[in-house]
Amino acid sequence: MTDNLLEGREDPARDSGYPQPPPRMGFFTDTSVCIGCKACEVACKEWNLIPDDGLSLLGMSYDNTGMLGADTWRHVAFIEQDRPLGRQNNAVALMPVGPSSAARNAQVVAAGLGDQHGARLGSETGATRLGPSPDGGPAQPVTADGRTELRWLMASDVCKHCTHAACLDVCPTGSLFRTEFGTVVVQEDICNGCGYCVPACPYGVIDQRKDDGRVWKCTLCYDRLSVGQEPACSKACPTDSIQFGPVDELRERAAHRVEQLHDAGVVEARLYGADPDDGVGGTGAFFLLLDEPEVYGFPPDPVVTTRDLPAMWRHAVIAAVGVAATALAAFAGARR
Amino acid sequence: MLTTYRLTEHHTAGGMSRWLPYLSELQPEMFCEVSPELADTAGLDHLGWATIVTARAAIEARVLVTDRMVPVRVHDRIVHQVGLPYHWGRNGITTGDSANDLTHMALDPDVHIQEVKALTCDIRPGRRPRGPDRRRLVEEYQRRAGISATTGTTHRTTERLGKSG
Ligand code: SF4
Ligand code: SF4
Repeated sequence: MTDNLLEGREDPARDSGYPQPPPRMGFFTDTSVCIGCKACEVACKEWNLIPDDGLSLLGMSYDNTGMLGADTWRHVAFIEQDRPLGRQNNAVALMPVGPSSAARNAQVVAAGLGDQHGARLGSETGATRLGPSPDGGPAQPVTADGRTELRWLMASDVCKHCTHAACLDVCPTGSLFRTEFGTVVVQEDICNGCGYCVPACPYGVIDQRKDDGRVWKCTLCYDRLSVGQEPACSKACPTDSIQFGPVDELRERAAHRVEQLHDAGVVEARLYGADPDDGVGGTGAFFLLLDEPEVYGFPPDPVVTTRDLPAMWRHAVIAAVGVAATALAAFAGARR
Repeated sequence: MLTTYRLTEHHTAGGMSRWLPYLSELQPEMFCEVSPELADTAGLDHLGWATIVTARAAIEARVLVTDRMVPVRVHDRIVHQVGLPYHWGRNGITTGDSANDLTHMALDPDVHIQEVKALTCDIRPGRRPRGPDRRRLVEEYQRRAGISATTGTTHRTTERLGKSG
């Protein structure tokens, strides 16, 4: 394990000073069973009284939310891919069809999103992959003019409740704090709106609400957890795509699910955020994905942005001592 | 061909769900879904406007170009599909033209439920004409197609029974 982190090691709650914390709680979001109903988004907004995010048709398949933000703590991404799911037979073989629209659509969407989302939109939606499957699976049927079959990925994103949370490290007011459940929560009555945490988050989760200046994000329903209830989104999810529980148990369950999918021939199934040795020490909310993280708009190799702070401080101290010594020497020299 | 369907975010014609901010923001606008092939043929742009015309009416919708819509081959003819959710109307937080203005009044001959899953239409780029021009556009289509007030009013069940009986 790395020792370069300001906050938290393996057991974030205990490391934050809770002597007898309950088990660390989190989410396992299994995107392979998500049906894109967005019940999680709505349940989250209802419970946490989050205002609506504005009415804009984004053209990103059925996703009109775009990304997580101050007023969106769950975001269901829809990704249309030219890639077969299972062993479907291509009914449009030999059809006079044109190339995929994906690239063209992506341009329109990016232009429309502008500064609001565009710059932070990391996903490569609907990438066309032709020929043999990159995972060594069966070759993909391709039409005469290059169109393949379609796969529609859905995934519900949320704050990762990092083991090493940069947002927490940089918060000067103590508004962001580690709960006894090992989660990361903002106290809205303490937040002064300085916004340091916004660029600190390696996932672009935490965000400032324009009209009040304070930052908002998923609390993993701290109020519900405190009285023994599960968070609103996992409660509402009809397919158990969002599972809530002790992180240890969820990691076990997730590993089992990946095995099960691999056995069923879904070789591309993988976990994201479940590894305690990754750049953020593993996340309390982790995911099962069916493609590269970038496809879903996740950073492939997130690193806690405060990782180098201790080293930077050391350098700063050395530099400061150096400057002071030079100045002293100069004065000493001048007196002579 | 045109077909209509629901979205998970809205309920029936949207009379209840289009008043709720949490549902309206998830599906904020009436749209039509077309394949890239149809978009090319008809000159439609992703997120642009399209006017959809049937024998009964003309409506407008934003365009979503998607590979989920695929042209189908029917007896050596390529038939394009236009997908329309039917959740919009005049009031609420999000408003838009109603797909149900377009649909015909035919009943399924067996169960006598309104049969709105397949009807013919035309689709063209741009917003629909306003005021009386909208009516004139539809009348022009009706004239060219030879559609009158009696077209499609035959009771097919009786016709079939008559033939077999
Ligand atoms: S995902 Fe971002 S906002 Fe959430 S705990 Fe990690 S650093 Fe903080
Ligand atoms: S995660 Fe669950 S509630 Fe959310 S969209 Fe997927 S299936 Fe629906």
